[in-house]
Amino acid sequence: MVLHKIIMQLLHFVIVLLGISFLTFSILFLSPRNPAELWLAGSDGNVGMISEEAIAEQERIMGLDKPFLVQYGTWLGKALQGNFGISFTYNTPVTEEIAKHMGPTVWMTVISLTVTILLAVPLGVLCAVYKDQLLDNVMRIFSFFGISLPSFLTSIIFLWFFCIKMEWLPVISKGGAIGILLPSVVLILQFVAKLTRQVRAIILEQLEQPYVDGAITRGVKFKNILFGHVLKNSAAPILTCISIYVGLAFGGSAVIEGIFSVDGLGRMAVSSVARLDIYVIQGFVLWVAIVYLVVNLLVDILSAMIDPRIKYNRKSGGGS
Amino acid sequence: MKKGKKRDYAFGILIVLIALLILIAVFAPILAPNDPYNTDLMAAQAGPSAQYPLGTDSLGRCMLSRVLYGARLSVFSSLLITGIVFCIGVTIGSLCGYFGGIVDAILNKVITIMQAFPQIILAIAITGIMGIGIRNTIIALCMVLWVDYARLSRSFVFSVKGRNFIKAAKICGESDLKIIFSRIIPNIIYPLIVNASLGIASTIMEIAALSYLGVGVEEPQAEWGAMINLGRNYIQTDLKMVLIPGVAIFVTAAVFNLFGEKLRDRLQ
Repeated sequence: MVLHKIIMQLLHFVIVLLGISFLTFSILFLSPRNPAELWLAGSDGNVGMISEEAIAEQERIMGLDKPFLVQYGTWLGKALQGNFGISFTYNTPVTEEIAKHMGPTVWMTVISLTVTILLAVPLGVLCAVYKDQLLDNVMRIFSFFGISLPSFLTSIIFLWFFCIKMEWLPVISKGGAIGILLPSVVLILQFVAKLTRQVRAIILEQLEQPYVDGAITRGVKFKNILFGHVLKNSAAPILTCISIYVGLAFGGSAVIEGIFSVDGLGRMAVSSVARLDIYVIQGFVLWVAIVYLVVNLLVDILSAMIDPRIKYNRKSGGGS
Repeated sequence: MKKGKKRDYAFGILIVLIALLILIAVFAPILAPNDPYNTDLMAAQAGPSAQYPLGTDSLGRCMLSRVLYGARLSVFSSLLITGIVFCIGVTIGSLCGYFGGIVDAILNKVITIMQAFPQIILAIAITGIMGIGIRNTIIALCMVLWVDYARLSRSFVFSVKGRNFIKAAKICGESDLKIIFSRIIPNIIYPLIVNASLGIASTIMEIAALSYLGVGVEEPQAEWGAMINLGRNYIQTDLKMVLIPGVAIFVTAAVFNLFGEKLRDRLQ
């Protein structure tokens, strides 16, 4: 039975990864820009200067003259052997390029998610328990700012204040822990604003359940109800909520890494999109997808461990 | 009773504010004191004056005019995108949720695949690959955002389709399409509308983020994100180039967010 589940899980992984690679490949194929032309033009962008013959020759070398499915098949075949192609702009293998930029982004994601969870979960619980009181109202205003301010705007204002006005931190990051401090803070503020509200809503929903009334009537202390039942029942949905933030952290870092001159994956992705460095884009997209799948799997397993009512299987049904 | 009245009051103000934003967007060409694309290098990075009420940017373009034209672009595009993805998503989600079967299984995989990576990254990839410009930005965001509505409406249909009134309609011989569009969708539409009104705010911010990254609108299009991108190079000397479009994004997003939250309170 366990073996069956593992096989189903792997099958699911394979289907999702195939789907994603096919989707990005189709978009790349439909692009009005020609990668062969861009390859020949290099970074100069003098695309018009190159002869038709040279482009056709380059298309042949890159395999772009073949039908779509053949191209996809070729890429897939190589990818399965661990060869994800070579970056147009750096002439290095995609895997190397990703490994080089992974550090700062992974650290930013780990740090911001850890701090977010440590702050937002207790705050959300407190806001739910002391609903409509001072803390709840303060957090409501904070959340409101958090969801209405785009991260790149917050980042620029932070950069201005901490690096230019106060000169506490260098404007151009030299890498290391100092370099990812501010971008992590930006992500944390944004995430805490969102997650606190979500945790609050989940806890409130639990507090309205009849079993809470029942326990109060029986004279069970509120503290015991909260820690013994409400939090236990809320853990799984909160965990599911948190898993979404891994993706948000990648998206957020793509937008703000450039501002803080962090040499991470997000910045790499954005600049490779601008140069249509298709194999790097493809590699990045797959990397994000794999992280997402692994995190989701972990969340499913953890949820099943916390709450025995959840049977361990992929939530393929309607639940949102 | 008193509380209800107070809430209506706030709701009314928000409707007025949204109407005001839309009016600003519609009448931007009349309200703008200058041509937003007219460069005046002699007056570059000037402070507020009678001619340029909010000063000028690094190319000497009128900040106020650019912000007003930016409202036009942001408000209209986000309303358009939200409208499109709402219709497409709800239709696909409801049909799949109702009929089930192989198509629904495929949709469910598509939803999982689309959720597997952050929307903004997918949108960056699509616009970057298809080419920069507002048309492609709108297409990219539509391709990314319909999934949310499909997922939500699909799960709502699941919870409604077993109810007695649907069974009754079936026994009475109503066609499946009639059941979907006149029985099921009216029953699930309210939470979806709330989602859409909150979606407008996030779409505005996503358009701005894409333009900020240089994959949204084309230069010299007056757009808030693109204005911040330009202003970013001048934060040491002239913070207003970031702050003015920044405030515009914040206020617009805030109004639509508050509207969505109030709508949720009212409809639930």
